Amino acid sequence: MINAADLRICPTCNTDLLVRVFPALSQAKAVIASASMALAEGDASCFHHATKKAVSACSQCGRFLCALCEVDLSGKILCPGCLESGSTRKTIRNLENHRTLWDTTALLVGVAPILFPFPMLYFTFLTGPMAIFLSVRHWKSPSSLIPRTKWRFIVAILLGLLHIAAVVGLVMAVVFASRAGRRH
Amino acid sequence: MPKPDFPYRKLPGVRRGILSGASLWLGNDHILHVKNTRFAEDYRRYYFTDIEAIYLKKTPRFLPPPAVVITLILGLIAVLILSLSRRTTALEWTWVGLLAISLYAAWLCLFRSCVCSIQTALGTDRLSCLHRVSGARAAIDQITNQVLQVQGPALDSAPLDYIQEVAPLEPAQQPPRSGETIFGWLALPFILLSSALVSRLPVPIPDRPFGVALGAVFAAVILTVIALISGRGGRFGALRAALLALTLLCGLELYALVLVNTYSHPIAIAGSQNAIQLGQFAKGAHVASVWLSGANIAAAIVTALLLFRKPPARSSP
Repeated sequence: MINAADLRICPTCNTDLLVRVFPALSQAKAVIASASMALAEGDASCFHHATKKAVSACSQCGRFLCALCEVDLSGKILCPGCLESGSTRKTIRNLENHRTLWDTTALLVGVAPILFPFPMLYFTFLTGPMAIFLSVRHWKSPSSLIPRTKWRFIVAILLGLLHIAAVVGLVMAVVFASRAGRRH
Repeated sequence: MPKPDFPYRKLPGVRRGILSGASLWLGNDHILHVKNTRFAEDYRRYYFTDIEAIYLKKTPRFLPPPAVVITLILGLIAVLILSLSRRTTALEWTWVGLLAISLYAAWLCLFRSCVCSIQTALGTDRLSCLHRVSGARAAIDQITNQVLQVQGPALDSAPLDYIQEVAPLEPAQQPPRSGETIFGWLALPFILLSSALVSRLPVPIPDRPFGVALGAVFAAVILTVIALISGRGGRFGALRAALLALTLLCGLELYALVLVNTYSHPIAIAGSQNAIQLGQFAKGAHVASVWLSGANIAAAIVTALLLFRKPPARSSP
């Protein structure tokens, strides 16, 4: 059943299963065993564990690292400190695990008065400028890690302009109507 | 071929929902699982060197996304509000809603789906985007090729012995239960549909309403007891089944109460020739009953979804 080319019926639960098992499953113990190797005389020690033998150096700060501390990230060896700082400052792309989609946010702000006329129509004077602001402010902000075009930003700007034009038009209509009322 | 500035290639399988989605991307040394919540994306990387196993388990139905269920329930409530505000009979609209739900549940039964999990040293995660067998198999084949290039050739007999030690395979002790989830899905729309049909029948005074209501409740009891007996074993499964039975009973008892109230209400009794159309539901004091009935039926649907939704795989099969 394991590593079979096609789905097989599990003899325990009687469901169709496809199981692919890789060598890493049995190699995990070996890694832990090597990490626990004690420091011999003349060997360099790990920066974080004085009793552990160093096996590599951090590619950013150069600190010696034992097998427990080293982190192999896309071919680069990093220590826990550099890994933490890279994750906090978002300088290492492979450590990013969350991104805000500002284009969708701007588009929703622009679309909200159309989708939900009540009560969002009363806030058009806010949503228009906000949609434009979000689009301009985050035009160059890092978007998704996967391919994504800028069409949402463009539509949000157009909708924002439309909202502003509608508000200005409404205000002008009210002003002209009141003036006309005074004349009569 | 991936672009130089974009090191990922899309793998087969994608989940699209109203409020969320997921996709899988193949990178140079890892696979990227992207979970989209519309306004943000969460990423999870599985490096080829860390992947220990991938499982695909066939499931007998499509797992409905929670967003669809919530939309359905909100739609039902919206229909109830509309029916009350426009002086249309609430039960007619409820009937339409229940019919839609039944058709939806029946439509779900037609699909076969799968659950896919990936195991690393840190644990097992579900790849929610791989929910179709064909797409999942294509994705797994591509991932397998990449992982084997990094980790070396496939396992020989020695590691397989190791697996046998960790999780020894035991012969099947229980008969196959492939039909139980389908039965559960079919039982729920049957109950709802029969209740809805009961509400559309002309019921003469004074004997039939009680009989019909009690019959519906009795049918529900029988079906839920069967669901309880044929449910999956284990404490969690039994708890879910008990929840389903409880909510179904509550909903149907309230439904029976509505029937009896309608029958006893003077406006309803003042129908034509000693017979009442239960569609001529009176407003006012009975509105709360309608709401309770609708809420209970909605709760029954949610509980049923919980009951028949398989928990994510946490252990190796």
